[in-house]
Amino acid sequence: MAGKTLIKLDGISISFGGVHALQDVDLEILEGQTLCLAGENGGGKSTLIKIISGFYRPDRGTIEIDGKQYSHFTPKQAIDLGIQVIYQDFAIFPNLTVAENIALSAERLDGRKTVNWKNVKRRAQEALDMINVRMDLDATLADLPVASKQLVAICRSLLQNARLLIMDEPTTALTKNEVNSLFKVVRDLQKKGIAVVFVSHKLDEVYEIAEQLVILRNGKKVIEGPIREFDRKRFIYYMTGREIESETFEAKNIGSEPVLEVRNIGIKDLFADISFKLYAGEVLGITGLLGSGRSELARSLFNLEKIDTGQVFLEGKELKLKSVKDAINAGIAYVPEDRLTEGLFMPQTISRNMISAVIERNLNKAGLIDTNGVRERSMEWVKELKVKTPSTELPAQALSGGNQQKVVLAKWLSTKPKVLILNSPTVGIDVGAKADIYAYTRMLAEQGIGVIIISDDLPEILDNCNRALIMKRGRLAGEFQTSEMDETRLADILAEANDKGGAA
Amino acid sequence: MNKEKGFAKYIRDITQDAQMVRLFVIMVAAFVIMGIASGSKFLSLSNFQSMARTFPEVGILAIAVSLAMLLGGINLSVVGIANLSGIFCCKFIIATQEKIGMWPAIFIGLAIAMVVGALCGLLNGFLIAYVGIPAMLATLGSQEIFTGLGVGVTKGAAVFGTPSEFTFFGGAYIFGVIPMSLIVFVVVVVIFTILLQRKQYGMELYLVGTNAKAARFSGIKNERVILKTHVYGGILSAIAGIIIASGTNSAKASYGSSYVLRCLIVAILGGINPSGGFGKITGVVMAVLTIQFLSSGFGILRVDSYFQTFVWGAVLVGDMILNHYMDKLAENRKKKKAEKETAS
Amino acid sequence: MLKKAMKTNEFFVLIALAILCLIIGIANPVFFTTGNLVSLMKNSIVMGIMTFALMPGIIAGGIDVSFPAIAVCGMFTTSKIMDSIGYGGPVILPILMSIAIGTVLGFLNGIIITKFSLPAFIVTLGTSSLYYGLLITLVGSKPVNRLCKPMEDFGKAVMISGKSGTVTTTCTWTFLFLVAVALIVYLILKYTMLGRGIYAIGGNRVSAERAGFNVTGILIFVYTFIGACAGLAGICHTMQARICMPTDLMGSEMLCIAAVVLGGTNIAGGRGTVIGTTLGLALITVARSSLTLVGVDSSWQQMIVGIIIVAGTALSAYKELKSSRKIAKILEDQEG
Repeated sequence: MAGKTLIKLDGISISFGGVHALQDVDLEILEGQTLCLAGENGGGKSTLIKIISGFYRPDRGTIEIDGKQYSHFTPKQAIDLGIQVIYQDFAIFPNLTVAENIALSAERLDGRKTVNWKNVKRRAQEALDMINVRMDLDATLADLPVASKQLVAICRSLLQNARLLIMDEPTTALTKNEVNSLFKVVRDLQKKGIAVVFVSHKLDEVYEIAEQLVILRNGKKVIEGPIREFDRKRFIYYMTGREIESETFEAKNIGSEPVLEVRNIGIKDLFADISFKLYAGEVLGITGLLGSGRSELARSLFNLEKIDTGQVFLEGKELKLKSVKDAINAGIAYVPEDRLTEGLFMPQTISRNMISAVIERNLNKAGLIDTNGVRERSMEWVKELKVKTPSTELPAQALSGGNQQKVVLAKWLSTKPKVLILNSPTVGIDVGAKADIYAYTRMLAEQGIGVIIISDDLPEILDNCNRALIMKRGRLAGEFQTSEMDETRLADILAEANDKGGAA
Repeated sequence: MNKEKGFAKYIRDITQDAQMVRLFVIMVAAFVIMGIASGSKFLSLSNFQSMARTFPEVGILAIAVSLAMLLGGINLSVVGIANLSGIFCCKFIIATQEKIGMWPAIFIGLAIAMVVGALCGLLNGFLIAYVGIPAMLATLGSQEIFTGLGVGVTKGAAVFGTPSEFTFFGGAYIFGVIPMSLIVFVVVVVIFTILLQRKQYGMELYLVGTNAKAARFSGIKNERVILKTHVYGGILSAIAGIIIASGTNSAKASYGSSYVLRCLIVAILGGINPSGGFGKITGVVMAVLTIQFLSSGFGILRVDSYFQTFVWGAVLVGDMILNHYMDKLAENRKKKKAEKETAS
Repeated sequence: MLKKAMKTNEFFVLIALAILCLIIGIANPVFFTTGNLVSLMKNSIVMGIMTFALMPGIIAGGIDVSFPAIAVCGMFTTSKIMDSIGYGGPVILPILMSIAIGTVLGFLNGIIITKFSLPAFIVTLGTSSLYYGLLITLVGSKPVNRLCKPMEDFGKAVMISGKSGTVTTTCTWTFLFLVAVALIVYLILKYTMLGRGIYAIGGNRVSAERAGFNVTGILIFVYTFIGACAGLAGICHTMQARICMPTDLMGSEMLCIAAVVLGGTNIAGGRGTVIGTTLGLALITVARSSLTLVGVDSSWQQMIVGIIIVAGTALSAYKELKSSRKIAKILEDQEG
């Protein structure tokens, strides 16, 4: 089906702060081709996209489009050349209407200086019709659910004469039906000669939609070829760089009493009737799709959201938390999902970050901060967690993603927690750091800490937890021992859960 | 090990100390230039005394503004608070000195000024932390209220009639040489340096200013930190207000309208990052001295006051542009350095 | 339709305005005479021009506080020059000249803010002092007591007049400039790509860049436009007052910002309408001009206006705070 070359990347390299994000990457995309860009987080997928769309300027290498060579181009040039990206954050305008979000860019691209509202609405409607979606054109985007925002972003790109459409994990928040209609759209686009680059790590979807597979790992292209040449095992091998005959976690020292017990807790509109027990030495997984309430549940245990009903017991005693500080002092630690905005003070020093949750425990007799003590304790954490840094007085932003994650971990371990809640602990970090963090969680569990991992990364749940809960639509939908579950079945259960909700 | 120390030190240098060194150089340069340009008059003891008497007013107000800026906010009501506190203080002393005696009246008056300042700060903090008004808007509005209240209470006129002993706090010279206001300033600087660098509050202030969301996740009570900061700001403004009132032995609602800009210049020149989280009191001290050298020199050279207005504006804008370039330079250097490290 | 309208911000401001007018009207019936209404019209002109110009800036997420200084630069320079050459031609020339001066200064603001990516508020605080200091240094501080004839005549010409009791109040033709500016802002914001770009930047600046909007260009336009309108407002002020004092207008920035914010424009950017701003402007003008009517002593007026401003901003900020805490619903009411 694929035609002639649309875009050709040759020897692209780029580094940030000395870290090679991409090294000598070649890539050729044909007209009408659907190419899947796969790789673990931190492998270089996002960087590659940003180069193709003109946001990063590569240190070396060339990009060839329509036989013309570029060392780099501007975002505007990229759009003019027909390159469209749908980012994970959708790049939408929350304050504008659906119609404007969809059609405004296209209108602007046509060189219009004025806005013809009739036109805008007509074109927006056309775009929505193309993917068979109904939506109120006058609704403000901020008021819409995530899935609708994504559809809006897709519609917008369709209107901008895209020749190459890059979708960065486009299905994360979609229901099965929505994914199917999206794939239908992608196939239609293909027939029109539009190339689609599909970034994903969901194997089923990749097999369903892609023709060509390119795998990036640690900034290098490790393999490329037609999708039919890859069976699952080979695919995963190239993605992770190792045979996944992984030793799954087995809880060895499960305590007899639960360290944390949750009885019928609920928050209005978010989740209800959640009950579970966490024993010391366990690693309990909580999984569910985006918007299933898994994050909200985790946050409520840390008192970031106040529960309306139910009770929480820690080591048999009921907790009456008034603030986050109370939760910390009671022995609950929460490592947030988004390190950049929720976990770290990026421009501040590593040692400041490490004591930020327990400043009051680092005072000397005079009530002043014990500067030397802080530095020593931080250095101990650096050694213990193998944080790669010459000093604890460097800003956290000087570290790589994995090392930043370790600083977050140190920050929370220094609160001496009895329960450690990790929300999507390995999003955006490289394979090596991932392994370190997994190993460390296991060690903590063995030491008698109750660990909860919240994640939608199914292998992560299956490999690192001994037991897991499934959430859907704000309720518990099941519980399983990870030793009795496999990835495909779990994926099916989740998809099913989602579709029931989505159809409503 | 050696190399590591060198690298760490290097990073420290370019992030913090370099700025202090730069400030120090600028301060010395301002002193030397003014010393040369206006000669013996500038270098005379009486000029030093007069400078030491004047700059604490702006210096203390600038520290108040800096605290708010460390949070990523701003405080535009410091002058209003200062004047209002001064007015209440003077009014009280005048009204009661005959009944309760002069010194008791003065000391209670000072306490009242501080309470007024704290209350004004409380209002600011409340509007920002609990109502959610952006600091700039909240304090721009509260400035109207504070000044308006001062105008209302005084009918716009200056409050005269405080006893001459009242001038002790802003006008007296200890041992005949050191102005009292300078001593107050030094005490304030010491207290707030310790508060910011070594107390839990200080670290929380920097963390909230760097990333409010992460601070909340770390168990820091952001609202309380904001409230506290503005109460401190209010008290500092009141102290400045007392110095002003004492120095002129009167109080007026419209005094020192140009001080707001001056405070901002001092804070920004002193390296307080307007988006929050970074900056030191030491920098503010050097900046206020720099500005004082310039303004004193201008005074001796009889530079037109409007031309000075122009210069202050230019200094503010120019300094921000300079910072922009310095940041860029530091970033490039860091990048190059990091590249070298990985290459080797 | 009506239900939807009742939920808007504009509706609340309208209600507040109506209540305020009613209270003042009951306290002093003079409020509802044509004379008072004409005087309100006249009082709203200069502040209104600046308010409408400021609104796009705030929607784009930046606050300019240099416009009073720019207005003075425009009006004072123009008045001085016109006076010194004894200008006698059409009045449009001095008006254009003041606008031109404002445009240049506003453009300069825009360049500094965008080129060095600095916070607009602090930059304009600095340039405000810079422009004003330079103006007085170069032009002097002596007021222009007699305007050139065309300007004087234009300031005398009556567009509309009203009576309260035996006193006749007039409003000058400068009111048309206010209407024109409001109309232009409305058209730009609603019907041009530029205007939608302003909203887009205020909504999500990074997205606006990705979507290919010329963010720098749009922001420069926004600040230049504020400058141009400030120049216009300044010259209108001079012609209405028939004297040019370089100390006038300084310090009026808070009132204009307050009018924009009270009219429902989101201080963080992204949202705001001309109708809302009109109502906000009316609210501030009525509150300011009518305090004397209801017998408030002049020395307390600043504080009362301050309280109204803070209370109004607090209300809209609190509403914003509450809506930002609203969470997407996950849980379904019924199972299945």
